[in-house]
Amino acid sequence: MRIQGTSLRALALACLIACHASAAEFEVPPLRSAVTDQAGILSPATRQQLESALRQIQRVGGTQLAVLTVPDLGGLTIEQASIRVVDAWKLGSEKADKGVLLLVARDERKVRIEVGQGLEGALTDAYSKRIIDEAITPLFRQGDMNGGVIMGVYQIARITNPNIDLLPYLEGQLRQQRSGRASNPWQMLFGVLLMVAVFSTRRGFLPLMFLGGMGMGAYGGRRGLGGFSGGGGGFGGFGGGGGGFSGGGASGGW
Amino acid sequence: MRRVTVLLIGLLFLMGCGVQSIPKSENQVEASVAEVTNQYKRRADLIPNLVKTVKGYASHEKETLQAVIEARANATRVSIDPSNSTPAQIQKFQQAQGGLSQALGRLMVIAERYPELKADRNFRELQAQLEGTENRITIARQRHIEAIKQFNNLVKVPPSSWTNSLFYHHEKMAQWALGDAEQKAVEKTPEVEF
Repeated sequence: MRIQGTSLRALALACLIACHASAAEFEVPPLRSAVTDQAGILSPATRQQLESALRQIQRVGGTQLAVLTVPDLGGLTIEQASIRVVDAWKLGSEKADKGVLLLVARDERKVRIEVGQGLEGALTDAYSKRIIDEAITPLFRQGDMNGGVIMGVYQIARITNPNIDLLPYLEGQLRQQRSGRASNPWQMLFGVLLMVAVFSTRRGFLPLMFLGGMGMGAYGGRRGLGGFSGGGGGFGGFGGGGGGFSGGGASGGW
Repeated sequence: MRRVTVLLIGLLFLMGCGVQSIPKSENQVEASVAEVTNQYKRRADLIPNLVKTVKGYASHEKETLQAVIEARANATRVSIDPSNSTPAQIQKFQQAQGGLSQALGRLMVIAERYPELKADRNFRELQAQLEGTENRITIARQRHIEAIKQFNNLVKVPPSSWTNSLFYHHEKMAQWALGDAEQKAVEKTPEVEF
């Protein structure tokens, strides 16, 4: 009886150790919505706006773009983790393979854009690298995780689906990131770039109104006019469609 | 009548046991070999531009540049026929590509010493493409290894192995091994300078 008790205890201990070992490994979370914030670095407002923007780009443009933040990579490199995620999630349709993953690892301070086979021609490695270096990590370095992810998504979408304007969906967030930090020359530059993007859409009154708001945010340091965020709501039945990935994209750190 | 039923049931049983999946898996291995060679070719295609860009800033690093050019020529000379690749062939291919990897690695280390080169937009884009391609190569190789493993399982593990010995008579495929150069790189203790 005594022996049995000890062996049971040993077994329980072994189980615990096994459980612990598996907990340290990187696990791919289930794909339930376009934004999976496991690291808890995004605000609810950001998540909601991102989801409506991502739904728009999937519905109209056929690009399935997903955002995943993880607390850590469990000893993997970000490239290894990211290919595991997309192999499990299969973002994009089987035919077109238009899937993109934006992966952020909080503790390792690494970020990666993983590009589906159908988008490798448009969103090249060089473009992906540029988005990471110029749109995402500068904001991450300032501790602005929401802004970095939103800028990243915005820039990715501009390349994958230039005909779809995500500004109405992300505008509230984009402006919020900008207000109060008018002195940062990088952000001013980005504001100018955004304006160019807005002008080039030639939608008339709506972008102009946004411009007014943004201008105030950028130069006056004040909050602009009321925004027009896109309809919220969750991703009804968000799931991968069988898209293939072969390791295209780029990684960076902050 | 009974005999026909038994035969039919036997056939159905075989359907689930490798009659389809063994040839499919063989095709999968072939496709994954093709993907590996394809990604290596992609890397080879990047090199002329890379060499030209580096030369613009670091023209006196002749030896390293020459080594890259030679390694590339060496690597492109060795090719694999995906539909009947032998382990020896893959070994040779891998060796040549490993040589190129090393030469490229040295070139990138040298590039670190030239701030102007590092700031060059063209060079940075090439660097991003090269990194992306190296990652694609890693994944293509990983998938090839996985495809071989699946094929071997079908050929060796019952019940599909019975189908194999009845109809196909496939042998187990050889797995990738690390090339000599890669093995040395792994075994070498990294040097740290303080």
